[in-house]
Amino acid sequence: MRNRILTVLGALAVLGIVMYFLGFRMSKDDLHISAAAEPLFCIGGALDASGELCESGLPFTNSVLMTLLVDVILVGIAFGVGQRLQLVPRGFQNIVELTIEFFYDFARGVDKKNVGKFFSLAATIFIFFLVGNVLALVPGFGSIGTCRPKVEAVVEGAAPEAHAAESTTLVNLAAFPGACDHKTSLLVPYMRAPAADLNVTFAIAIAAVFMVEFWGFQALGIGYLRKFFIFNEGPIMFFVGLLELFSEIMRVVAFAFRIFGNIFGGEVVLAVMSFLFAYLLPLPFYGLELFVAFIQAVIFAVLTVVFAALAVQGHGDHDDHAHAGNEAAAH
Amino acid sequence: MEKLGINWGLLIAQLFNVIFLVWLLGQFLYKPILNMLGERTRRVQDSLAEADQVKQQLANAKKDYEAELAKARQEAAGIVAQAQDRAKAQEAEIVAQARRDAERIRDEARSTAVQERDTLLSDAKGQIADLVMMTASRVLGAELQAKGHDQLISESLAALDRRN
Repeated sequence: MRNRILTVLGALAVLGIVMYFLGFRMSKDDLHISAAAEPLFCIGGALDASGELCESGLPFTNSVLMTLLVDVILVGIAFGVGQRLQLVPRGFQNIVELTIEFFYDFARGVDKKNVGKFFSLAATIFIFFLVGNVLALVPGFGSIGTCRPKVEAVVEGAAPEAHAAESTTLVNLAAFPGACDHKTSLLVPYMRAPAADLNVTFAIAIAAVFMVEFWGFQALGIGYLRKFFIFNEGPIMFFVGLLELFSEIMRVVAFAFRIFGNIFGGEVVLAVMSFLFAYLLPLPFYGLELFVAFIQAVIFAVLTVVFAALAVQGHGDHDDHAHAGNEAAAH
Repeated sequence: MEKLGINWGLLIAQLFNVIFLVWLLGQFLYKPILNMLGERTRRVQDSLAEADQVKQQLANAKKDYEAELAKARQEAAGIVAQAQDRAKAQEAEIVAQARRDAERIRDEARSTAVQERDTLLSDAKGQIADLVMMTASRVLGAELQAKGHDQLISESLAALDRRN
């Protein structure tokens, strides 16, 4: 078994090297990385000269398209599975139930009393990112797209000579049917992981943090603010309270950039590995990215639950003091 | 902001998307699935409890059955013993009755025989006396006419009677 695996890997490596030298490889121009989601078209407007931004109107980006695809899948699951549940589960229902139960059990472990309140949002975050991230790793997502002519003004002056010097391989991939010649045009993929678009991650981070604060106020009333404005315990605690307030606000940024950084970084790593040697080399990184895709979805959702549980519980370390204070005030 | 691709319009659209998804999935996916999981847990617990109950009932039924069987066996033995006793008593009674009947029949037979013999004897005595008289008178007839002969006859008859 072991020998067979090694044989197959060796054959693939040899084949890869041959293919590489034949010219089936990425050139520097193919390595196009954009931190922003690229617009496929602009709603009520037009693309600007570079072809990467909308001059006016609302851009319909590839991550929006992917978000809609994930939406369709989730809605399909909701109506295809959620509305047709069977007492004896079979097939896909098992997977859906497993995912939801896995997360429900975790959320219940964090806060048994309020799990019903938090669960909907946290589970949606988990499932949305899980589906989006894993789907984005499917080959074709992120590599199939529209070919858009590059505007010469964008290309730097020395570039044309470099192009001329590079095309020395046996096979010219740009001549293949449906191929996009990256020297003269720009490939805009149809799909992009939702988590690799800051609009998506910020929107979800804002929703999560807003709801955490909302639940905090709901559970503790105006007393929730006592967590951040501590007047009766000396200047140090006052400063600590202000830090807490700051960290609360920074959670939005932390949430948004954590998952964006991981998923976008993963895409860059895969692109660079494919650029270096497209055969076998990206394989371990695919495994890693699959793990990251799962773990980042879990982290986002779990942190939402944990923050919500903390906000609802109230005063954290100062619990005893606060209770004493409340009682003193009552007497 | 441009390089990072943050666009307020898109951000707000995504925010609505999140709200929509949370509402829809909460309503149509999590709630039914969690209900279903709860229902399944409840059912499994119920059926386990039921199985225990049934097992208990079965054990009880077996115990009852065995007790009943033992009781029936005991009763049967009692009935047989009683029947045997009664049969023995009846047998003894029948035997005694038979003995008694036999005794009675024998007594009756004996008394009848005695009676018959008596009558036969007395008949025979008379007939013999007549026969003797007739024979004697015919033999002696005319020869014997004296009184002393009558006395001799009655003496010989008495002697005959005594011999009997």
